[in-house]
Amino acid sequence: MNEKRENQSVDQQLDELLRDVEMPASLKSDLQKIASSMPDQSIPKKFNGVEPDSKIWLRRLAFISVLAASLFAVAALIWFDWETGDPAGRTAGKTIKNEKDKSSTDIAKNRTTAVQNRLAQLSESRRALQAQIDSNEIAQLEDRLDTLNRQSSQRLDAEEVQSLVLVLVPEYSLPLGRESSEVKAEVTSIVERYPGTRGAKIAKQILERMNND
Amino acid sequence: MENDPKRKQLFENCVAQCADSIYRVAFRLTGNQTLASELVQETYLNAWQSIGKLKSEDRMRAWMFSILRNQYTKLLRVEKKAVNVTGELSDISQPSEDQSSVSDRVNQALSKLKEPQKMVVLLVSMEGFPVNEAAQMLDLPKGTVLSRLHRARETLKRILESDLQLRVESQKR
Repeated sequence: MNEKRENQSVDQQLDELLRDVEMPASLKSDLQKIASSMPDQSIPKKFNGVEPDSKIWLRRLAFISVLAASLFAVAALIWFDWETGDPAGRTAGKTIKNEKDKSSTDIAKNRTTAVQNRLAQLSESRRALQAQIDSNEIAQLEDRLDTLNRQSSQRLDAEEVQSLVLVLVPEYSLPLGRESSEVKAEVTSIVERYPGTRGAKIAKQILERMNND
Repeated sequence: MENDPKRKQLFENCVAQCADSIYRVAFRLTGNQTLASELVQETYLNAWQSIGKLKSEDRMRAWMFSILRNQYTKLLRVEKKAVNVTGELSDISQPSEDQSSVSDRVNQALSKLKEPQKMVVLLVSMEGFPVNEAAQMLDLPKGTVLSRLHRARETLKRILESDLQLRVESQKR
């Protein structure tokens, strides 16, 4: 009990210690001057919270104005949408136009890129195709060359055939003791073996003359 | 616009009724006379500007302490150095602990408390606000206010033990 009383006493002493502060007199007079030295401000018409501060009304008025303006803007947008079929309306027209311009620029850029890519692909294909054509042509030419080489190796030169025929003609071969039939068979075989050559023509003429003789 | 005499009268009442309490708390919060005076002036300037928001004259004291608390929080937030300056000033102005006044020693003891504890002990112990009202003013649960108050009191008693004993003994005599 005594301890409790002593504690209370200590608490009271502590409170007194804390309160042991004196306010400077000059500060108090300064505070009292505030009311007269400060500029006038709007004052509530009634005190005790009956009527709110006029600032509150101003704030409310501003809020209502903003709200009304917003509603009007929304209504206008809806009206434009309904009237013109343009979902953006005229108010937002500039924004939409800018967006359209931007999107059309983007589309043009995309198209250009696509065309450039296609052109590159086509050039590549063309080069590949040309290379194939060239290789085919070369192959064909080589084939033809081979054929010609083969043909040319089987044929005698015209002068060669002519000299051969001349060797075989009766005027030269018969005096050497060869038989007429033997020479005819030789000449006939030359005509058959080398058709279309000058030697073959001559050989034919010789053959005809021999037959006439 | 005319200066409303009713408003002026209300403000003068405010100064007459609350100025001492407000200064006491400001002085104990800052631990410095100059800073306390500035804080009180800021509080009253703010009160003059927004006196229209005061709903009832019965709530004047609590309303003034709310403004003081806001101003003090602003002071701590904006001028973080203020607390350090307070410490430095009190260190300079006090030559040594045994030579300093009781009031300075109380300020030193208060500076050991955390800010939320300091505010609670000043409002409840020093200014005699009921715990419920202090809880409402500080936007805290009643239990938190009580626990902070208890811790703050214990810390202060421990630090100011010798001063308190001296006072108790002198009273007994």
